[in-house]
Amino acid sequence: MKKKSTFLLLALVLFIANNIAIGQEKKTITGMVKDSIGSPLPGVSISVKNTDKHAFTNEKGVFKINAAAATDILVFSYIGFERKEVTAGSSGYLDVTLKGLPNQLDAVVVTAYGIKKSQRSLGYATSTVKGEDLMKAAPTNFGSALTGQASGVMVTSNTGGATSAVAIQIRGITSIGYQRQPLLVVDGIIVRDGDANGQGYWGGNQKINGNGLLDISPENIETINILKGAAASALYGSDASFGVIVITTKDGKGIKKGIGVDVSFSSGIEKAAYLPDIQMKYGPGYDWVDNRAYFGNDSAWTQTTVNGQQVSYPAFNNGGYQFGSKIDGRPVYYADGVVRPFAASNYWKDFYRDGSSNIANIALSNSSDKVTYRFSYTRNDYKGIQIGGDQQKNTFNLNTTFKIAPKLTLNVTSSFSNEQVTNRPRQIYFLTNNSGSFPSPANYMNIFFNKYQTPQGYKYYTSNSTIDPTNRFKYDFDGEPFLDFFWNQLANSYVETTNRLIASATLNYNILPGLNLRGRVGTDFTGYRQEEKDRSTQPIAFGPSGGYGLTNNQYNFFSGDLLLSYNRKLNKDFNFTLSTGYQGRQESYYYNTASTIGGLTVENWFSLNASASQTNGGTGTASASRAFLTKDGFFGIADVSFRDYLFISGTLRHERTSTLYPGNNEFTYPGVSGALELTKLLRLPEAVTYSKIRAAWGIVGNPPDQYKANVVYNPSTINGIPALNPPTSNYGNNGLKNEFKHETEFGWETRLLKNRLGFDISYYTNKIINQIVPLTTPSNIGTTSVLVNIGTMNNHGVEGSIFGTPVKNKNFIWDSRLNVGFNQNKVVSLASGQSTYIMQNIDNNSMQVVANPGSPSGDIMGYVPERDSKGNKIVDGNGMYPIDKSHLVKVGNIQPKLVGGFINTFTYKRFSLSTMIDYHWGGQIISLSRLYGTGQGVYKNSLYGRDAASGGLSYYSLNNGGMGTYVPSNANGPNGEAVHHDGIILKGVTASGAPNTTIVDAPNYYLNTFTWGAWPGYDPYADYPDGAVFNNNFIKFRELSLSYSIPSKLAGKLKMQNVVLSVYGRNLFYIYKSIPGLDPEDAVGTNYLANYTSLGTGNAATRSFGGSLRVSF
Amino acid sequence: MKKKSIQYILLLLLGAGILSAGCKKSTIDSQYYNPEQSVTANIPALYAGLFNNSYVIPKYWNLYTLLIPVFGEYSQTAGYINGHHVYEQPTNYTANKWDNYYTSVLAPYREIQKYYGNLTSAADKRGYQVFLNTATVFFYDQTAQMIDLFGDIPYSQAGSINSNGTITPAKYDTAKSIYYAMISDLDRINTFLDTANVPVFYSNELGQYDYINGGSMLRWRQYANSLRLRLAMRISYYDEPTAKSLVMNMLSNPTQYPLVLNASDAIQINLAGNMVSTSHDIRNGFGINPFAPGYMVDSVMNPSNDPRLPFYFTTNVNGQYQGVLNTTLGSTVTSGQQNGLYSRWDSTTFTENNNFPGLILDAAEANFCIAEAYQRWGSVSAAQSAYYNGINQSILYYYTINNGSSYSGVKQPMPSGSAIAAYEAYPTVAYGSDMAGNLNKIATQKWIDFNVMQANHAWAEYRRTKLPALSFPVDPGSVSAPNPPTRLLYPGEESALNAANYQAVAAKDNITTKIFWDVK
Repeated sequence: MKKKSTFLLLALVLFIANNIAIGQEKKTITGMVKDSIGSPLPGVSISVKNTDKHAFTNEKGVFKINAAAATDILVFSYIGFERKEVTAGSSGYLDVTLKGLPNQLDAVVVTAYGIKKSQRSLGYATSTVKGEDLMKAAPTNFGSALTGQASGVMVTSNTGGATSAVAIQIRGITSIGYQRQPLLVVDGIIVRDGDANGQGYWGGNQKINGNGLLDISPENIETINILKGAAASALYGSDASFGVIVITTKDGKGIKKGIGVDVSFSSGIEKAAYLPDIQMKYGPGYDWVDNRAYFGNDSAWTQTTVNGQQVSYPAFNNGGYQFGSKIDGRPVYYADGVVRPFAASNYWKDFYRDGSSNIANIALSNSSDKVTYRFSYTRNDYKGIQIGGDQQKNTFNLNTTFKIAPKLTLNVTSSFSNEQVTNRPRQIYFLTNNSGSFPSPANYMNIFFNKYQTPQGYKYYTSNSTIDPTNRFKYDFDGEPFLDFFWNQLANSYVETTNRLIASATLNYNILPGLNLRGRVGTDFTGYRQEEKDRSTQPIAFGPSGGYGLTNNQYNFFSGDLLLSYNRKLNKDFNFTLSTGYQGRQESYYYNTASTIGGLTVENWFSLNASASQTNGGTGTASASRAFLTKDGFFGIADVSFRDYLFISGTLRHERTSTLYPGNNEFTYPGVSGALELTKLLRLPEAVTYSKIRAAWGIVGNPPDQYKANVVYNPSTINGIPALNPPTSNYGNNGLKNEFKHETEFGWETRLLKNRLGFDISYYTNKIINQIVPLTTPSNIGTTSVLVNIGTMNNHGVEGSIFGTPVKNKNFIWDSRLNVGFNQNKVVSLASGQSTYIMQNIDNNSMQVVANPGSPSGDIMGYVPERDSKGNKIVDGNGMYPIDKSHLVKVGNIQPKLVGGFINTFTYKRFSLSTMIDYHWGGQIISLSRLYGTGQGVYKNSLYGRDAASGGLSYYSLNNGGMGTYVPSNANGPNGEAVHHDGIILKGVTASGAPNTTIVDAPNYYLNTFTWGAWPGYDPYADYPDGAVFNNNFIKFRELSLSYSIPSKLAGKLKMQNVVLSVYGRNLFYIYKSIPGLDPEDAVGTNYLANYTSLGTGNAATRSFGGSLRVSF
Repeated sequence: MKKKSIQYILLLLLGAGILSAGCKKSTIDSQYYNPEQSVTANIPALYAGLFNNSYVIPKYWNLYTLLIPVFGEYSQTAGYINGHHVYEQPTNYTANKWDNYYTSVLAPYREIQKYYGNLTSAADKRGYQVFLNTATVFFYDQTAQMIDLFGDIPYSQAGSINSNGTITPAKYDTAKSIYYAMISDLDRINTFLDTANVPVFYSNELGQYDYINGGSMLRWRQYANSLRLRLAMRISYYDEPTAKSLVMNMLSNPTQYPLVLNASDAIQINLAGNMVSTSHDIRNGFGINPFAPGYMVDSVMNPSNDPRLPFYFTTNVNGQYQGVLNTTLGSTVTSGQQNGLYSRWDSTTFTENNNFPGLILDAAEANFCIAEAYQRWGSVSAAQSAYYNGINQSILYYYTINNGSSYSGVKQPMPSGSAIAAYEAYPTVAYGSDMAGNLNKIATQKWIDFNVMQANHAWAEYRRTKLPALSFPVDPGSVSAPNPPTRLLYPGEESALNAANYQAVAAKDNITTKIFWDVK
């Protein structure tokens, strides 16, 4: 009822207002307002000084205003232009030219709900990035191109190239448990984005997934405005806790005559940037003690007779340990039955391929009195460095504005993208975090490539397969996960087709001068289809295998908003705008999937009808589920300005959300901000061109995802018997409250020396209460995790930019910009009785990532070696460092302290060189793959001490015992015990304080120190902090581009207006990095917790080079 | 005017669009719950959910991570290689077992208790008692298995989120106190089931939901009493007087204490409909190690020409039964496996048999418990009779499983009477007269009957009796576990998340602490 009456009232207002507007003024002054180059300016505000008479120019820059006398003063004002006062005069006609304000001061910023505001009047920080600045290095998405471009904004790209998600984090972490991506708003419509790969390897589909922002083609972006703080984004309420990215797409405005045509083409190659530093000196084997127990000899060789010939091979199947004999070229019987020399290579080099990226775009635009439009088509063809897959994408974009009547404009935008991704890159977790898969450097990668399938096209047969003894492997070997990986990527097919339409219609109605009504509806609809064809792995005679699956999902965001605003000048000093509005959004998700079960009845017949097992008379298995979310809010905005130098803005939103328990789901979000332009208030030295201070405060929120708070039972049927089970994890909580972020910020922006130098700096402090986390619980309460409100967190930070033009002369311009974002996060408190919150338990609590009060979220806790009172490491009787398991020690934190970028553009005549360097400083990162690989002897860091040449000491082992029995000696022992040369003496002291002299063999040192399991009661020497935690600082040369625009005379001869040729390089190299042997960007997941704990499990990051051509007709 | 009407139409359209985007409070509230899940539960559905446990029904994860590689090795019911760090526990997998007990056994059981407690009608209170009591038998069975693995466990306070919605980490109850309480309560349940006289509506409902015993009171009593017999025998070296009095009382009142004595009485979940794995859980589970145990095959079953051999194992390339010995050099075993020199678990009975039941308690075990009880505390001839009955029921049971296999391979015939007789006359099998020898034979037969599918019980019985005399070579390569453990370590979550309560058991949390009944 309430809603209906609101609508009727609005309709009535519209009707009356429209009729009033028909009346015309009698005594008028007419005229035209133009800019300095003579283009008419529509929408200029004209008032008669000291009266409330008011008018605007129309789309041709023409105005009419009622004036009493020739002495009246008319005031012309327009955002971005200097205010001008003109005496009316007696002619009844005026031509007025307004002078544009100095560059960048006139910027119009699109704020919440698409409300345009002058940059001067904003009381909060925003960052604006122009589309053209993102395009220099031909990015496949705008997200990764944002790296380093805006202060306080950190960008993390999922490895895997163009099909992989990009995460954007603004002003640090604001939620321990439900950190999300910023709200993405395109032309006023909230669109789908989301996170990817937060569930790790086992919880997800093991593919490196994308997210929604990839579908927004950088070619169509005019500007990106980033609303950072709570006051800036409070109108979006609970969607805005992580900031808002407001994208405005290009339209046809500015086209002077005829149809404008822009064509561009770029082409580039991609290569794996950094590879793990595999040691290539030693082959497979354990330490000699274990080798003897398992193989009967110290160096782990197996002798066997094949076809009457004596052959031998090392322990290729020993769980990936590489502590065997030296790789010395002797003949080795490889697992495929071929004898080859025992030689080493870095298999990762052969694992990756060269990728490519081609982007073509054509855009048509036109502008007339009635219609302005821009149409563009973009084609992407991409092939990543990981074997198997590729991507094709078509994006159509149309942005049209109709002037239906003088007071009524309709803007319709639509963007349709159609994408096909085949065999999206997979995470390599199982190849790098799994001891059974570390192949020896002495393995030939081409064996893997040649043998993942049999000559008949079936999946490789293991050594004990009875199907085809001829083609099976001759013995098992580490690296089978590589074969499985190749089978998945090269034999199977997994095709994802996405069709996505983002469309909106916006109607602007200028009811009366100063009174505007705007209504908008929009949709973001995605149809996603995934078709999986898993080839039969064996002949049908041995049982059905392979599979087929078809998934069809639909995601739909539907939203609408209504905004009524009234602008009035009270007197010569005060001007105000009041707005009120309503916004609603519904999200619906439908998931349908069907697949065969038990294999295919006909080899490689990909159909549900081929399902070997059937359910309930149907074919295969099918499942479907739905999810819905609704949010809405009423809001009001009040903007007041005083003498054009003080601006105060207040916003209020009352919101309802379906994701919390009824009665618990309504919230109010206020925001206030103010700006004071010092240059207009005070007499500042001439050198100060512009200076403004600002302050803002606001509240935004973050409820849990839909259904997370539900306390429900999982239904199933057991042979037709209905069953219900309580949740075994992620138990809900109907009493859950919203997270609230309270944020205050202060800022100062100044431009000096006619904009040759400037800075913009902000300080912010926020507090987020009611942190929602899936609290890990001991399972003895009945579940392994429960959703709870656990505590409070805060952030303080300084972000800013220094920019300027150090050199500017006729031929040469150097523009430079340094962006800095410093954030200090702190967990203030947890629930009473809760001293720590374990965010991630690594290897059965061998290490933990926790939120500890007083520390930033994401402390890394581990067990460290015992030390004496002087700080020396203690060495025990085995010659090893025992680990102190009595308590966990903080050994790092995953959050960076400082991120930013350094951008320089050098323009010489028609050449332009742009460089982008970004940096990431502070914090630690966890690489379990490094830990395990070191313990397995895979990397170069495990070479020390393995032989005399690399520092190994000689000893024999008394009675051929194990560790702790070693006697230094260069000769065999008294009982004939063999002498070994791989001893090391660890630096440290014995329990009594004497320097350690006990020898341990190097393999046992590595494999017992860098091994799985360091919790109390388990491995006594496993040192996770030493093996898996690394300082994570780097400075990366991210982008370099050189462009040349051909002289207009020449272009004109070619019937072109503008031609630009460029070459570029992206992700070029690290100027500095603190992590040895690893690329800090090889992690998986957009969520910070996933990303900073998974280093080494993503695909290798890429390095790209290419060129592009842009032509305008 | 025409233009004006366009204007109005557009404005109306816009208004309509916004209206449809606009939302009612009732829409927002009703969208709170996930449409794919149930907001309320009921006792029968929770009861059905309780039994559907992935550590009872043969599932890939249990077989692959725990039963075969861990319990199979500690009990030598699997043919493992004496390799690198062989006795070390895969603690993340043992933690899975721990979590499964609390979240999938104890939690639904607490839900049943809660829903039972909240019943308001007297008829329901009376009728659903039978659901509660039979669920308790299953719950005790699973609880006892947890104690056999870990020792003291959180118990009486456990399940707080299900009982009362709070997060209250539970204290540890001593293994002994739980064991004794269960032994006592199982007696009460047997009496209850005997005299319950369940109203027909509820007994019909039980018949629909009870897919273990089909609502049969007798079968539930057989289960409860046989479980009680198992637990009593397990404490029999620790507290012989109590065990003796309990067991002899049961055996002297067979009408009051019916037991699982015949193969056809076995307490098991028969797999049917969607319970039958279509993804070959059992095949993939045995993928971790399909090979026959060396000592069991080479030294026990093969010399005596055990009639179960064709049900249990395949022959090797030479047509012989050959297991993997834990004294053979690992590399020799590996190449032997590749050359087909070792027997595997039979595909018809085990590895390809998607019908292999969720085995809870078989008749052979109960018979061997009786044999041991009579041997120690009563008539040797009664012991002998129970012993042979145990062997016969074991053979019959595995014959039945083999012949009910989902696999299309050859089904083995029932061994002839003469073959069984010959087997039972073989010196290492034939029941003798000396106590120690007979106890060894009983334990050995029980161990064979358990095989790898009940390896957890085999390991518990081995720890209790130290029979049959298995040999485990020392692993010099392991610092933390040179010998097999006597219990499983608590999962890391307990010391990390239940620290205050864990303190009480921290001193016992090592691999050499013995379960209270492990005193030999």
